[in-house]
Amino acid sequence: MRKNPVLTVLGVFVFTGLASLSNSQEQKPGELTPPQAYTRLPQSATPVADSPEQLKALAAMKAAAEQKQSDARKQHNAQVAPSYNFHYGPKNPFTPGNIAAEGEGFLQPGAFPSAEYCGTCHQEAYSQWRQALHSNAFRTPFYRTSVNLLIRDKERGISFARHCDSCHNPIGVISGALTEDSKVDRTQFDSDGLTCTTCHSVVALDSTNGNSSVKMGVPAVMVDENGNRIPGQVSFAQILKHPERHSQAVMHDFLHKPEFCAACHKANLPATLNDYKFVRAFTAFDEWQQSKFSKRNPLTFYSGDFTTCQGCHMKRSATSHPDYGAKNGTFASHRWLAGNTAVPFYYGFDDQLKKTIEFLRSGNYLNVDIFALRKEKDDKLIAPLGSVSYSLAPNDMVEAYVVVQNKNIGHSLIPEVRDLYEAWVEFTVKDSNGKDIFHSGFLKPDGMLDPRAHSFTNRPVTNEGDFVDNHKVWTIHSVAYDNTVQAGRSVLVRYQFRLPANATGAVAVTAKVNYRHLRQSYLNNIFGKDHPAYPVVELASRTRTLNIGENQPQSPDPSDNPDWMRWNNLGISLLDQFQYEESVKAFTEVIKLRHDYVDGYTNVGLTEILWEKYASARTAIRKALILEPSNARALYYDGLLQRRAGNTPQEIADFRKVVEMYPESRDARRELGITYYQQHDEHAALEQFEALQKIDPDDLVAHYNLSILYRRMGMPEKAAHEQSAFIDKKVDPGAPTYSLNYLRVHPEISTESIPWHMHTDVDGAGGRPANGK
Amino acid sequence: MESRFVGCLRLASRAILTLVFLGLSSLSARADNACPWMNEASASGLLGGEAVGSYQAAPQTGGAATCTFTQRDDKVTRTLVIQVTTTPDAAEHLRTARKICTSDPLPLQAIGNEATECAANVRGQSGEQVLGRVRDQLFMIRISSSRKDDPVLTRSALKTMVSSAAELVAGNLF
Repeated sequence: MRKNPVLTVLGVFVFTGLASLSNSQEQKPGELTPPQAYTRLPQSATPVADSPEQLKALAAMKAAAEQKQSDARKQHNAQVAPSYNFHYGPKNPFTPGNIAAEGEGFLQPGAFPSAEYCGTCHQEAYSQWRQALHSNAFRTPFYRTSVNLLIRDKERGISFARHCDSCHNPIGVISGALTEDSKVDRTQFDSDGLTCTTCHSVVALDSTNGNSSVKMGVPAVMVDENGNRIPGQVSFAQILKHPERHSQAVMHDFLHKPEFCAACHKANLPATLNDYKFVRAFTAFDEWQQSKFSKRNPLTFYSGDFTTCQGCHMKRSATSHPDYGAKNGTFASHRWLAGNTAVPFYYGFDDQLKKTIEFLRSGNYLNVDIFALRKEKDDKLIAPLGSVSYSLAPNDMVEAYVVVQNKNIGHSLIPEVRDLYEAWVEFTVKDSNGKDIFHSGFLKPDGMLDPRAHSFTNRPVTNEGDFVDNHKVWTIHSVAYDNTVQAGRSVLVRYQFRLPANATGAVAVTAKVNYRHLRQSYLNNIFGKDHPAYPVVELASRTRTLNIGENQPQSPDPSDNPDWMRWNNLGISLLDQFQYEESVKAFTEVIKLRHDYVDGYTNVGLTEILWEKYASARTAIRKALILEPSNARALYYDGLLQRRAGNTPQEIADFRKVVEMYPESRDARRELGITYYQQHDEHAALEQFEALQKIDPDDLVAHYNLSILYRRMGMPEKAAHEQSAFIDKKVDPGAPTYSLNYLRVHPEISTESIPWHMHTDVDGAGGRPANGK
Repeated sequence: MESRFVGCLRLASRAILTLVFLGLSSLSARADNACPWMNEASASGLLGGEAVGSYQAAPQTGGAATCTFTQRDDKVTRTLVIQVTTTPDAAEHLRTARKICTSDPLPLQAIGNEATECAANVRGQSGEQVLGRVRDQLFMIRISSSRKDDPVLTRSALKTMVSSAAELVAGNLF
């Protein structure tokens, strides 16, 4: 073949870029080109003015950059488009993903400056990002194993992986690489996943639909003097002369908002992927929005300070590497610390692993409370443990109440793909010699979790009722079991054990919430069974010593909740287990300890509403409103009661007040919309349901009611759209059948799926130390 | 005033623009490559120029499936070879396979289940290779040049490129 000098130079250039990577593993800042000297000007300083000659040069540079980008993009499209599989038509090149690219056609990978380019001046950001999950979002085997199944699926193939890669490898998607016989060089972007210029080139957010609902702009690290973007890389000298123009190009207000995170941390499985219907995958964003941290939901059990996703996961900390984006020596963390210990463990990112474990154990996220005991044949609840006296005798059959509170997490435990993650309660009772009397939630020698453990997980199943064990999400038709602790709520886990007949001294009862990333059987899918043991992190625990004989009240542990909160958490967990009478009793104990606690009365009221004891619910809610007449939470439940009583004006007044105070409350908007609908005030109803849909584009009540209202108001196309969305998103009537098919053959899970189940060794079927060990 | 570094960048960027115009137009003549673990564009990027690939499936009697990418100019031939064998004793075979190394094998973190990198200076070729496995799939990736003093595939570049190739291939094998 004739030597092509042009290609040789091209190869050298590509080479130079790749060679600076060193390898695909941890890039230490010392290996980056040292940054040019720069002294940050005070924030109040006026930006440097350009001379007319400089402006002229800038204009010329911009024009050249735009021409270069245009030519490169056209060339790339000429290469890629002819053989690209437009499975869903040329207007939907990236479906089933929701990502869009600015301009016409695919965006070439070379348009995105490398992380090393950004890392020259932002070494702290770079060093953190390289160890964090975002940069490893594509290349990690934990992801590759499941997306490869989709790529190899004979009925689907690589074009369907655009759904997954829209978030995990957006450059791959918008460059047109996800097609058979791809013509795109993947070596750089596969290794870098969500590189700097993916997040920092987003120019617009779609609604909170998720599945990468963003518009990716042509990357630019500078704007001109008029704020117009200059595509591609520029010299560091130019950036440092006008850092405000650099900031304008890459920083947007929405980067600080949870709606930005929602672009990917909200996901669904659309019919274009599974050829079935919309299936909700996960939504950390909606969970946050419903939590106390959003300040958007008046119905939370507890209140908190406004905290965004970024507030927890991108905390500012002191820099240890040069970074020109640092402020006062601190930088918003680009580690995005959360729960993923598997990626830093696999890659040997010791810093990230250590910090992740510290993060999980800090922050008082969970509270574990061994709240109560109940002895066999005795209705009396010994509670709250540590605050009351009681006695125990050898051979006593004891039931222990363990209450796990999601105290300070802005979403559920475990959010997102809890079919893959593994969190569970480990409960042990040991005698005075340290020997196990009872053990639930142990790990077996092969690393598998005790199948009867109380675990925070789910079981997605196919239409045959088979567990989707390997994250083949496109086969999910139902979720047979889903156990979590939602933000701000609590769960009650019951354990029953018998004290030995010869027990003396004391027994130690311990409850821990453990977490492992990932589930052992999924790790086995990825690596085969011969892989190292992945880290297990204890998130929270509590131990109580129970004397055989008399027990007196004890001083609380510093991490213990006050007694009123302990009762409150029990009440919440009993409410969620549909044990309304017991729940009301627990909430009543709260009122006894705090006569002026408004939520105590509201909690009684809301439980009695569910219990359909409306008269006593009214009494409780009225007491709450006497204490605090404008309490939004109490007003909401009062609105429901007023509806029940047929007192429409008060019903409307209540809901309107709540909406005024919490305009983004989906519950208040929904109920006010229903009220107006029932009153045949269609325009008012429409206003509420449209507002509801802005808060949550997938809300079923909004779809349903809007389809009717639009039709009545002579908007048939909009009505048809809403109707179609409702049908697509509502639960498949066949789903319970798929779930039951699974539960029938998995008694360990079907037992767990009963809310008030007991973990016991009484019948010899679980929890005994000998079982499975 | 611009630094020399920035000036070089300007020149390089103009050169690249020209290269993109002239160079890529010839890429449309590339033959189809059926390699299941890497495409020609990625191989071209690793070898420093337009590469042509071929794929040979594993024989039915057993053995390796092989992808070969070759990039040629007047003075040098650069080759990327990928071989994958499925075997129940992959871990054991991997230990044996390391005997073909012409330097001490060094472990690579986070490539497959396990992997090592070593020199592959055989039959007059100057090369580096990665030997590893993903579950029961044994893989060998070798990048080599017919020139010992290849200005593009220097020893350091060979190590970098073969590691990148290994990450790509292992990812596709998972």
